[in-house]
Amino acid sequence: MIQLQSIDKTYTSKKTTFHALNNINLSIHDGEILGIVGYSGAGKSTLLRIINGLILPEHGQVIVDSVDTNQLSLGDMRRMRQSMGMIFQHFNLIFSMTVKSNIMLALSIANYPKDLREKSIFELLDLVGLTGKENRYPVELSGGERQRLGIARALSNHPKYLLCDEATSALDQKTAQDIIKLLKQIQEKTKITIIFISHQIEIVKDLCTRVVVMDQGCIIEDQSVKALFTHPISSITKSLIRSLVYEPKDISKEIYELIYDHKNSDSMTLSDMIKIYQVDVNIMFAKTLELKDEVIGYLYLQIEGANKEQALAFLRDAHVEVNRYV
Amino acid sequence: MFDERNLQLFIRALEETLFLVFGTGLFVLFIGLAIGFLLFASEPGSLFKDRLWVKVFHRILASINDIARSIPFIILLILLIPFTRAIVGTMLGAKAALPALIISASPFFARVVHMALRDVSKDTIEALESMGASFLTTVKVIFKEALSTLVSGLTLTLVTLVGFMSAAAVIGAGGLAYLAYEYGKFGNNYPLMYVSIFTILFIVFIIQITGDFIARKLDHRSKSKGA
Repeated sequence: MIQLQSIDKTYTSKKTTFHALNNINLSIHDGEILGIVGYSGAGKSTLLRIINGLILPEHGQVIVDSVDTNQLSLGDMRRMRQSMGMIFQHFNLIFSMTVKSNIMLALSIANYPKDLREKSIFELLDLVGLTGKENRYPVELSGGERQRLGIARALSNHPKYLLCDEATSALDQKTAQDIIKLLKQIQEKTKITIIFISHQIEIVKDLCTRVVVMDQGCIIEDQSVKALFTHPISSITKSLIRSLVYEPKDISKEIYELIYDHKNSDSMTLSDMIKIYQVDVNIMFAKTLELKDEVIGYLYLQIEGANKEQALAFLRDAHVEVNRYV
Repeated sequence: MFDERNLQLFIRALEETLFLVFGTGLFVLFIGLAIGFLLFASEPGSLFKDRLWVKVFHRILASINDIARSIPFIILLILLIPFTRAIVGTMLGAKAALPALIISASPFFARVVHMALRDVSKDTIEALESMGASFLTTVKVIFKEALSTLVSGLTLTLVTLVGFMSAAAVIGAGGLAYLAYEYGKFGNNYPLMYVSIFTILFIVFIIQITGDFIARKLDHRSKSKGA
C-alpha cells in the first residue's frame, strides 16, 4: 500500500513559482489499477515521480508498505525503487544494448540471482510477446515492441508496483489498445498494483478500476471508474468525458444527457416516459462506452412538452442519471 | 635524390610522428575523458547534486578548459618553452612537442567528450534512476550510450593533433612535417618533401577511415546502416 500525505511540490525559478502539487492526499491499495488523468501541467507526472522518489516533495510523507521514504538513505531508496517498475511515454530504453542486454541490465542492477537471469529473460520476453527478438537493438523494434520491452524491463525484478507514465501516449490507437490488453493480462496473473498516468481518458477507462482526476496540482475527483463515467462531479471530468462521448455543436438548444448502466438498460423506461407524460423527444446522439467490467450508455435528447419536469423525474426514479447538458 | 640516407631520415621521422600522434593521443584520451566527464557531471541537473560548490567547480573548470583551448597552438608552444625545458630538458625533438600538444588537444577533446555525454538522453538517465541503478552503473551506461560519438570525437581530435604537429615542426619538434619543412624547403629535396607530405595525408586518411568505421559499428541510434 502506498500512502501520500499532504504532499506539496513547487518549482521555483528566478521569476516565478509554480505549484506542481498542492496538498495531495492519496492512498493506493494493493492490487488496484489506479488511473490518474488530467490535462498537461496538472501535476500527474510529478506525482508519479514523487512515489518512487525521483522527485522529492517539499512537504508531506510518502509511505510505501509502512515505510516513510523520506527517512530512507540513498542506498535504501535505490532498493525501494527496485521493487517498483516504471515505464515511460518514450520508452527510455538503452539504445546501445540489445533487447536481452536491456533486461539483463535491470536484472543485474537488482542483484537478481545470476544463475536465474537467463531463464528469467526468456520468461519475460514470452510474457510480453517478444520471443525471438532478444538480439535486436531497440531501434529495430516498432513503437509497440519498444514499449513491450519497457514493460519486460520494468517487471524483471518482480516488482509489487508498476508506475506507468503516459505509457501509451506515443503509440497509435491500435497499438495502445494492445499494450493495455497486455497490462490487463499481467495484472490478472500477478496482481501487481498499477498506477497509470494518462491524459487520455479513453485509455484509462479500459484499464483502471479507480480514477483520480487532477487539475492545477490538486486532486479534484477520486472515484471508481464506473462512478466517474456515470456521476462525474467536476467540470474537468465532465469536459474530459464530453470530448470522448459527444460535443454538442448547437448550444442554443436544451439538451439532456441520460446515462444508463446495466441496471436500467434492459427496461423500456424512455418509451414509458413518452407515453405517460405525452412529451416529444428528439434523439440528438447516442453512444455506448465499454469500461473495464461494464458498458455504459449515453443518450442525448431534446424534450418538449408541458410535463417535461415530471418526465425527467420519472427517469431519475428509474435510476437513469439525468443531466442538463447544454 | 631519394637514397639510403633519405630513407633512413624518412623512417625516423615517421616513427616520431606516430609516436607523437599516438603517445599524445593516449594522454589526451584520458585527460579529456576525465575533464569532459567532470564538466558533464557538474552541470546543473546532471549527475552531481545542484550544490553551490558544484556550480563554482563547473564554472572554474569550464573557464580553464576554454582558455587553454582558445590559445592558438603556435603561441602556446612558445609560451611553454621554459616549462618544456624544465620537464623534458630540451626544446628539440619529438618529446619537446609533447607538453604543448597535450595541453592544447586535451581541452579540445574534453569539450568533445562533454558534448557526447550531454547527447545521451536525460530520459535514459531517468530510466536508470527508476531502476535503482548505482552511480557507477549509471556512469557506465552513459559512456556506453555515448561510445559511438566519443569515437568520432577522438578521430577528430587525432586528425587535429596531426595538424598541431606540423606547426610544432617549425620549432624543430621533429616528425614528417619537420622533414618536409627542413629538407624540402631549405634543402631543395623535393622528393623527400612530397613523400613526407603524402605520408602525413595517408596517416590522416587512415585515422579518419578507421574512426568512421568503428563509430558506425557502435552506433545503434539510427536504422540507416542496413545491419
